[in-house]
Amino acid sequence: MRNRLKVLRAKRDWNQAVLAGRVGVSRQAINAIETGKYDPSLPLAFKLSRLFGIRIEEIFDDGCGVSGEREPENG
Amino acid sequence: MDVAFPGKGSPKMAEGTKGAGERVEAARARRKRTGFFVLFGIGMALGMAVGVWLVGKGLDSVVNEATDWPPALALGLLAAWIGAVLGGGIFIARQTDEFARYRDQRAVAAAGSVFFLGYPAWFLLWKSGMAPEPMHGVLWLVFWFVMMTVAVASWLRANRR
Repeated sequence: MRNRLKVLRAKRDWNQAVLAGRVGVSRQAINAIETGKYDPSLPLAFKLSRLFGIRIEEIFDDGCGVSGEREPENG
Repeated sequence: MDVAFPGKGSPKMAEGTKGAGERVEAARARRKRTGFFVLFGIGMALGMAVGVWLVGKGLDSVVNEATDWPPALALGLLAAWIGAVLGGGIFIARQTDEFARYRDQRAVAAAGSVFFLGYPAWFLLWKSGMAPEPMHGVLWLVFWFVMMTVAVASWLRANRR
């Protein structure tokens, strides 16, 4: 799943360990989420949403639009 | 200044100093390491006890003579094993985050497939005369090998930045 975690983190000058500590997971977990190797659980997604003050959908993108159908990749 | 969102103007952490997040993670890693060392120490002590008892008896008494072990030794080892797996597992699970639990579960599932797939396959081949009788010791060793291999590979992949 695509996400903007790295961008949001960089805007606040946080490294992965700082972000990990704020949401109670390991640095490896943050790295895996940012690189798309792992999708966070719902509680963790909510923690990230509250930490950055934005909705979950503004952080994570499953590639499907409002209709639920997969959108084409941007060229 | 908003503590939660220090903003772009906040100074970067100095090299060599640890932020709150890194200290939390370091403490968690320390507790996990301590748990592993305690379990390892218990295993070593029990292994030495068995080894002392085995002096003069040879490996044969481990592999072939199932009734040779004193009941107290067998029950003690069984209690220690169950305690270590359950107690240690609960302790370690509390020190790990969801991502580490996901990796560990994959390793255990991969190892479990050794029995789920391997034992029936070996049994059927044995019944048809194409393989020797299934050896539980071999299955046990392969189970551990698969679990450790998957766990280490997952750990290496997760620590690759």
